Amino acid sequence: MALDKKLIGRTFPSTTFTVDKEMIKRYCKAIEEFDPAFKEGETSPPTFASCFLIPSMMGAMSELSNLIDPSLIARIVHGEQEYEFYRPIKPGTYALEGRIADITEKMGRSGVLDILTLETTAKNEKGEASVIGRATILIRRP
Amino acid sequence: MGKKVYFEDVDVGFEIPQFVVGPLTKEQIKNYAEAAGDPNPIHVDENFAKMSGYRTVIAHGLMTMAYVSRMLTKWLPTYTQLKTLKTRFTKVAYPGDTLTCKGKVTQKYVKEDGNYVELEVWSENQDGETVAKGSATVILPSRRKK
Repeated sequence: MALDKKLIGRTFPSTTFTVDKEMIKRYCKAIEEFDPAFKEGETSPPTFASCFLIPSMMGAMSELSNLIDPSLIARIVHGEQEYEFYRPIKPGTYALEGRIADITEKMGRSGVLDILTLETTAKNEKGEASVIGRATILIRRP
Repeated sequence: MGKKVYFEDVDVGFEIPQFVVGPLTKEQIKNYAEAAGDPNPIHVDENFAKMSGYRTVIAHGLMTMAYVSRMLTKWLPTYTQLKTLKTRFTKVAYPGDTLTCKGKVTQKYVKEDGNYVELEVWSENQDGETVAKGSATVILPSRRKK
């Protein structure tokens, strides 16, 4: 069953995510980013925004499981990621606002793929957008 | 981060310095999974990965993207000059793979709020296969500006 295109534009309840210095340091260590700018964990490299993906996707997926067949959720692949960087992510609490930006489909090697684009805007404590992420998720139809 | 690079220094076709990482290790992939809070066992559980059709655990697409970003921020004097980054994950990266990240200028233009440079960016494994590819936008200062 195809994903219902009526879901495009649907927003998810905002969740919060708190970033601390240790989290930034751990991320830098994992990608072996030893630039002095990030050493103390007071600011983060751009792709630290990827740490928002799982919590925002979890929120979206728990909502989506009410809307689409849960068996499809187990068949997802992260196909593409896009970021717009406005302000560096620093320690603090961010509001993650998610929405379904697009739903399309295409013919893949093993059948039809539904393509879902989840957009998440991470806003800082002043309500300013720090980063917008768009994750393109491929779902293989059973 | 890199030395100062000006808008006038780069033209369409300009290739930025490559960034090589690897060979990737299972430990690094595990560290990434923990740092990014990704619970998917396909990155850390050998048996699970095999049952999913892979020869061993696989690196996160976002991990390969992080290396592409590192190439860009290593070249740029300030990491905040990176404005957009988009990558499609075209092939799985495994432990043992060495990735070479590359970038080439495709377009440059001036807007009211800055001098924009667009690049195509990609990452190849040791066999020359592309594991991630996409585009990036950076802002560079002009020599003409005070």
